[in-house]
Amino acid sequence: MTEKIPINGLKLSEPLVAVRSCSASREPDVMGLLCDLFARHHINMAYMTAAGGADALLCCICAEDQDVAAAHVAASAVLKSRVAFGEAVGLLTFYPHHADLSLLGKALQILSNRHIGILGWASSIAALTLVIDFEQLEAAAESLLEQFQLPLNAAPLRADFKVRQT
Amino acid sequence: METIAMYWESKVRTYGFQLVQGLHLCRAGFPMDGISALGAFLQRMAGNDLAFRAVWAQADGKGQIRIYLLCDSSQLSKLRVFGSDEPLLASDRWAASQLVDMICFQGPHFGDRYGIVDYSLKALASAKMPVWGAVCSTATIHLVVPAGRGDQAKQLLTDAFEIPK
Repeated sequence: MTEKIPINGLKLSEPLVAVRSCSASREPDVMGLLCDLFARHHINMAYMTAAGGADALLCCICAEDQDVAAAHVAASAVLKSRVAFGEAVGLLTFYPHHADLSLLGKALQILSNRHIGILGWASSIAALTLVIDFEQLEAAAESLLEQFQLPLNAAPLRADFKVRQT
Repeated sequence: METIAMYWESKVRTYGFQLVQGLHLCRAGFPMDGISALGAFLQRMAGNDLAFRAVWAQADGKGQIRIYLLCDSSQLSKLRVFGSDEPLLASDRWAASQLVDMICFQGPHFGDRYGIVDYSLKALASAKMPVWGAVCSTATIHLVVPAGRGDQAKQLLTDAFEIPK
């Protein structure tokens, strides 16, 4: 039997919605405009990846913010034709990655072989976060934990935290 | 139980900025149904001691997923050599890299608070700084700017944010 890969933690997000732009960031500056719009309306982006040129932007916002966000995007002449609200998603975060591609590669292989929908991923200083079809988020965590080992007495963490800003 | 944290900051606080200069931003596209094979490929690259500074990917909604890898020059040559044998990749895709600088920073609950990345982008926009990539994940923000502009970008961000002593 193959030995499990040790990790220090795994966290699952609350329900989120994927927001995409397929004409990212140069002319017009979709990333800047979208970030400005969300900030002005107090909408947090729990996750975002973007690259300039002809590539795209993917961000995730709280599902309960979707209606407000969509209304403001629809009211923007520039953004309404460039930004689309998509799938219900969740974030699955595990750490540490040690700047080693093998942990990411293993996770992608495990999840893909279980037909779990992956919309994207990103590294942070220590963690890797995958954007997963929300319906499959729990199954994704279970699948990973068949081959990744949490510390003794540790369990996956779930979102239980709200930040209020003024 | 729900815990509520409140922030009143005239200047957003961060723990400090890490600037890494002279990196290569490499990208490649994969079919969505090739993610398992991509996973195997990444594991083989890791077996060749290929390390990354940052990695991200996003599906384009049209059946493709585009992966971005930020790495040092020494890692780029490994990527080119190893990637050229990968049947999933066109041989020249990883080679089309851009030379960039990367700034990475984090702060308390950055992932849970609205407006942090906007605040960062506006600080850079004040000097018309191009941003070639941005990644916000957990409490960390990575910003990718053209090579040679990292020092200026870091100064702009340092002026905008507060770094408690």
